[in-house]
Amino acid sequence: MQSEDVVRRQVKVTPEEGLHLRPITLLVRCATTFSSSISLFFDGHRADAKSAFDLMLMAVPSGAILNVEVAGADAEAAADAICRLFEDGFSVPGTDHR
Amino acid sequence: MKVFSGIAVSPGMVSGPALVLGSENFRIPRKFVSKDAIDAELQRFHIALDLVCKDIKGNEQLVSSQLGAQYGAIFSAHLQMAQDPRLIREVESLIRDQCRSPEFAVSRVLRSYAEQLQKMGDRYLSERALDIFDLEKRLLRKLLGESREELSNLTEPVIILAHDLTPGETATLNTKYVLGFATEVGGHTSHTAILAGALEIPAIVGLGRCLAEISGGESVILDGDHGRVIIDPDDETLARVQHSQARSQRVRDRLGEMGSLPSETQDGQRVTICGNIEFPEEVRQCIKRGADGVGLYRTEFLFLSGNREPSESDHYEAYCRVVEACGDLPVVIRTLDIGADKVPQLMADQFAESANPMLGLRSIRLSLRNTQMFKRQLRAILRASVHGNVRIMFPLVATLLEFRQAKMILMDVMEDLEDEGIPFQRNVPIGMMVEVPSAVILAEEFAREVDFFSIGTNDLIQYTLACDRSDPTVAHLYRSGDPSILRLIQMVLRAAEKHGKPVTVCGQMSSDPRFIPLLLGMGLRSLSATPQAIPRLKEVVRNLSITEAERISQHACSLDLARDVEHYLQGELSRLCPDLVDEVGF
Repeated sequence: MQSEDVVRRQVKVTPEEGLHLRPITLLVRCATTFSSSISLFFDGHRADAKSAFDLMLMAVPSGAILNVEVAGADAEAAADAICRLFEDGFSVPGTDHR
Repeated sequence: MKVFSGIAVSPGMVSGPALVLGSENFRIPRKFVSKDAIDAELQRFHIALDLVCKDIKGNEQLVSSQLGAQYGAIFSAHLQMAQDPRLIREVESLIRDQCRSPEFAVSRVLRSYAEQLQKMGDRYLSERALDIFDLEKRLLRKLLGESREELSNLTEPVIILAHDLTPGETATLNTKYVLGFATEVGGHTSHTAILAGALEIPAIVGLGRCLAEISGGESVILDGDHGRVIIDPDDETLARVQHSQARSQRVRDRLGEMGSLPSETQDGQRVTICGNIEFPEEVRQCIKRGADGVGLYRTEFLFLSGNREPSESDHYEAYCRVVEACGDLPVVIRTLDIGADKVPQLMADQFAESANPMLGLRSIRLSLRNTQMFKRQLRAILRASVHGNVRIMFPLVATLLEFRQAKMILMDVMEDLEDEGIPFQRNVPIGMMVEVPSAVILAEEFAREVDFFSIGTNDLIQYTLACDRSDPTVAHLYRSGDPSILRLIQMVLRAAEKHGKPVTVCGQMSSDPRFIPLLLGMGLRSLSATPQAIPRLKEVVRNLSITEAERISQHACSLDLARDVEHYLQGELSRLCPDLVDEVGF
């Protein structure tokens, strides 16, 4: 059996309003395209990056540093994609509905 | 007659009978299910969930096609919530492990999420609790087989008064019959409020408890401009409102036909009225209203909407669309004006720790620091200049050196293009925004070097009176009619006249009909305003003579309080163009 890859990264939350609905929507949309399990750790709590409720209830403020842990066959690609979202500040055209 | 006040979230005034929707209290019939029914109950939950997802997708499509993808996105967030693995896991576990009914489980789990969000003390997130209640209602309706009959079986026009309307309900309102709505709860940033604005239905939220005093069927006036709901208005009020409604409709119709008429004063002075735009699509709205061109094309959207820096061809394509749509009409392209309240995420690190962003790195200052980015934009503008009548404008210029530096970089870019054999308009006019008091004080010196001025009143007022208008404690200082502002505009006009350079006023002041006689009287002959305001501005110009404008401006400039200036201008406007003045008050 193939051994499972575990990839660990760190990201910073740049949106001014913290991890609110819009970035969460983008994050979940991105995470659900991968088969790996993706966890975000903040302040001792764990959230499933595929669960909007998990992320909302974690109440992550702007500037927070999150630990990302990805386990699964496409872990590397998933970690890259998640990190890119954070680095780009979640700015994707046509999704800002505020 | 009863009057309730709330937060106005979508303008317009309507009157009609009240349709009252109380808070929807679903009675959950049973809390437990028998052990051998668990599989069937789990299946019932999943069927309901699938139906809800289908409804949400329907809402998303409907809203995206009618209002645009950015509003449809509200529902893609809802869909994610409905398909959330944590929600499904917790509901399934309550049904399977505790023999709870799906109705009870759904309600319990979702309410616990909403409660936790509300406890966080974060206004934006606590309003998201409404989105969660929306999902709860959707699921319970499917599980219990109920629906808000009242909303889907409308046969006559009504005004909806509800404890709350969910975004889903708002999106599917039958605008043929729903004249407007008001809710007890909700705030400015709720999705319901945003959708109401996009649907252009007059709406008020946050009325507070009031439904207990209304039984339904009463006559209601909903004033979405001032956030007021009047129940059982007396005859006098009703007559006044109906009169004003009919009048504003007539005025709207008449102004709508204004496009083809020349903007010329009674004594034959032509006044140029251009449109301010942000997106290429808006050119159509300018042309339709008979604009003389685009007086201010803000280019920030290219930076604010993307997740990467726009390439030269991104710039070029957008500019070409505007320039080509305008034909021979002028297009004033303003170079990047970001910073302060508009910071794209992709540049956030450059703005990191400014304690005072309005006085910090923004606008031309940013462009001069990022010459690569600045040159890319200038190249695109120059390349687009061969397709029409392009002018380049630098924002927030505070010193002569800044203007010269910007111009020098532009010359560099011209040289590069020449070397590469790429065509461009060599004598493209180069101007600047006047929005920093220092630029007004040195207006004479600037006038020697620029091809044109455009006065940006919003920032000029803010910097002159040293007040941030988004801060409610000092916002009262922000007044277009402040005598200091009038004096500054006069200084610019005089300096420009001396050197034969044209001046335009853009910014909110030039979209406000009250200020048009004043500005024309001071000698201004060119305005640029939001496209929607153009017909009203034309109406003022066409009802005015320059002699009269000069008299008005002389008197206005002799007053020494902003309040007196604005009051006087308001009086003059209602004399000149009574149709433009909203006379209804309660």
